[in-house]
Amino acid sequence: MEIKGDKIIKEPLVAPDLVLADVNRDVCRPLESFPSRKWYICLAIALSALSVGAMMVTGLIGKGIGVTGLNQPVGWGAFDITNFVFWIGIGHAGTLISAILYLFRQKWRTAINRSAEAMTIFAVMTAGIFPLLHVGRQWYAFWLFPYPNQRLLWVNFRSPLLWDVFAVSTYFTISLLFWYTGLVPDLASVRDRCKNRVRKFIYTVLSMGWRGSARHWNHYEMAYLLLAALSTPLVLSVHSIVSFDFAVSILPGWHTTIFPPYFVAGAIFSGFAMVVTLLIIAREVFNLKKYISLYHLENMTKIMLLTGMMVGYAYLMELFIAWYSGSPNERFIFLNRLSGPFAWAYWIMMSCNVLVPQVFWVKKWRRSVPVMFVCSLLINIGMWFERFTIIVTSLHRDFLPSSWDSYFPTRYDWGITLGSFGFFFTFFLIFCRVLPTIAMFEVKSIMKIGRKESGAEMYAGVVARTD
Amino acid sequence: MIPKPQSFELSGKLKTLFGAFVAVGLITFIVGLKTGPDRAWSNFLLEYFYWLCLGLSGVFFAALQHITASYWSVTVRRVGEAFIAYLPVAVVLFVVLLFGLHHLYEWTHLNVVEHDPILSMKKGYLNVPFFVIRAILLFAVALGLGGWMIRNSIRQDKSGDPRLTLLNTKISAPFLLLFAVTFTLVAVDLMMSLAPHWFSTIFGVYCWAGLFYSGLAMMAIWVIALRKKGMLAEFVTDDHLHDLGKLMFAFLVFWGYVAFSQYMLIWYANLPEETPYMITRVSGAWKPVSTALMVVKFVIPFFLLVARPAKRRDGWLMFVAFWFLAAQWLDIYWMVFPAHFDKPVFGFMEIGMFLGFAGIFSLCVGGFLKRVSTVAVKDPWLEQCLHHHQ
Repeated sequence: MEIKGDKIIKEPLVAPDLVLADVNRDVCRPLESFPSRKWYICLAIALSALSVGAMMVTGLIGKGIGVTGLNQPVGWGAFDITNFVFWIGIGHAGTLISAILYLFRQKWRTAINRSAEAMTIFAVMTAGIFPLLHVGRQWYAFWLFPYPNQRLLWVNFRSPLLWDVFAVSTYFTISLLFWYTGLVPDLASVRDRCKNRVRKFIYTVLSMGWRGSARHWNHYEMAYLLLAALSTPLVLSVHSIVSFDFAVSILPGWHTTIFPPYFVAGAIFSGFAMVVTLLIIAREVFNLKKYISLYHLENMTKIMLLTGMMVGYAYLMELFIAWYSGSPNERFIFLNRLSGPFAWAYWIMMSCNVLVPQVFWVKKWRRSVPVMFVCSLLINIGMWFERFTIIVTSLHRDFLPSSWDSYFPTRYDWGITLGSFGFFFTFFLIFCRVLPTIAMFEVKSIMKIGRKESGAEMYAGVVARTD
Repeated sequence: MIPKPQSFELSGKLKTLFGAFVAVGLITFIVGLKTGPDRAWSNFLLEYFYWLCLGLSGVFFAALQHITASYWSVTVRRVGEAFIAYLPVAVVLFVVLLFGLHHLYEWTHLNVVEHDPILSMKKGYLNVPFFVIRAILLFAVALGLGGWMIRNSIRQDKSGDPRLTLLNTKISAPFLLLFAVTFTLVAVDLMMSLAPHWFSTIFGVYCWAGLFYSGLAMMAIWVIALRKKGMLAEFVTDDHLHDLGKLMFAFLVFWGYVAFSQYMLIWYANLPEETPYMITRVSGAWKPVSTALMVVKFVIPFFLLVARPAKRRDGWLMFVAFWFLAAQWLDIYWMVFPAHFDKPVFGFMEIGMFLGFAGIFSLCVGGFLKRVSTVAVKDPWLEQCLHHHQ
């Protein structure tokens, strides 16, 4: 924000020299040209990681989940569940950006919502792999769904693990629908630009007969608003229920009432870090700097600062209440986190999640792409270690000191973790090639071209034009 | 073209009425101290925390609008800012509260603490000097940083200097951070330590949810009242009310979420360290109060406010806002009274004390609004705000 006379001028959302036709051309370019060498290199790396993961998954299914580092007392897959919670968390930014920021009228979301939502969907898919592997007999995973059966067996409705099945699958369905609904007008734009007949046929089918009539838009706006309103509670509920997996137990370090909002804040935190990481790369590779400007990135760093401090608040509150409770078990588990054998993981989490985002108090660093990129990577690492710390430190030294043990991940743990990144990035890279990564029609809606100027105008773009 | 806001003054009738409220409150408190000091002090604490939250809510709202650079809220912000006028009184009343600590808090009974291993472990935190220091910190943040922010806003009414808006944006960030920490501590002190063995990590968030829940309702009441008098008529349209109503609805759901999280997790784990707090409240004579809390604070207002017209019709919104305030009272009653009473008590004492504090608060806010413009007339975003449409 700058001061001009007695007015405060906000930064323009897209570069002021753009016209409407530029948007279609720039955004569709990656779809309409052959992939660059950079893209192939990225895809090769992602596919290699994916194949390592696939190999390890095959081994794990063949031999059983004992091949991972599971033991007594760390009997709840440290890597499996860490990865599950990590990826579900990543999947929160997309729907937050598209639903909650939409309800809050944050127009800067238009440039980033499409790719963030795509990321959400891929992250939830990635997350889904882990509980499926962790059930042990993966071929019976469908038993997770309650349905009348010959065995007369029912799932345990009182278990938050089951609520997870519903929460995550609902979240995935609604996110997918929301994303697809938002895609339809853009798919029609892509269709109209197609020269190849096969290509045209595919996008024609995908765009579901969108003609852009006033009636279409009217229905579209209503559907989008309703989906946004429905998705908002879902964003909060999914990670709350994931946190219940831990918090309904009686284990110190897991059972604490702040878990639901704390997990949601952490999810948004890690999700934004991942969006920043991906967008910094995407705007570079696909030349979209005019659309995804420093202003967008700065706003995202602000959200990371905010949510980073929310998780910091939760960490400190946990420590304080562990002391305040006067319960020896509570006090021990937190002392063990701070100074036990896994203290290194705890301090990685603390420094990456609480200290690192503090650099964003400085405006210069909020607008520096290298600083942001490094910070976003560190935050991703920190958030991964947060889940690792929660799971391992509470389990490895439980109530009975004679059963204490440690935890060592095996190559299966590492391989499947690597594979999950490969899985995620493969999907994301393909997405960048076949669908418009920026919501073209939404970006057009915030451009001021051809509109009557009003005295109330606040974006520098317009001021620059009238000058 | 920016209209000129009318100046505001509480009418003579209202002034007398609020003055009478204060007198009633004072008399009930004094009579209460003679007849049943425990009940009088419990009421004092209830009202103290209730109105403290309302006093803080306006500063919090202003800071939130500055940090997000919102323009829709410019015309209603001043009303929120006026709530700070109650805080100096709250400082004085805090001194009064100190005389009641012995009636209210078990941890002030040193002989009990000595024989209780858990309480003696908490002595480092739960002691009177530290208790006072934490409250001073909250007041320093709210009146220091928050007061600075609001003074800037008022200075801008004359100078129209846009730099003040940017300065307030800068102040609001550290303010919100420090406010979160200090308010959590004070919530733990005033409310959670009533049951000194009990603990809940979400408690600060729970109290803050209630703070904003009631604060938005109080703002809605003042805004609608001023608008009906014609003082904000050119400034606050149905679209602004709609946004206030949406925020009320959002924080209604947020409170429900936090309350559910706290209750469900404690109920599910059923640990002897935590459940007594809930068992006291959900069984026996207190059961109806807990049920009522859920229904009155969440279920009914959810349906009262969910529809679009409900947020745009001023009479209806005002009614729901009063409902919110009543529900918040019930919530704090639910936190305070079961600590000292086996069964719910309600009578002249509760009503009188409530009226007393309500009188003080209204006189403070009314006096503040009389001294300043009721709208931030030279806010750089006022013009956009006037053109705000849903």
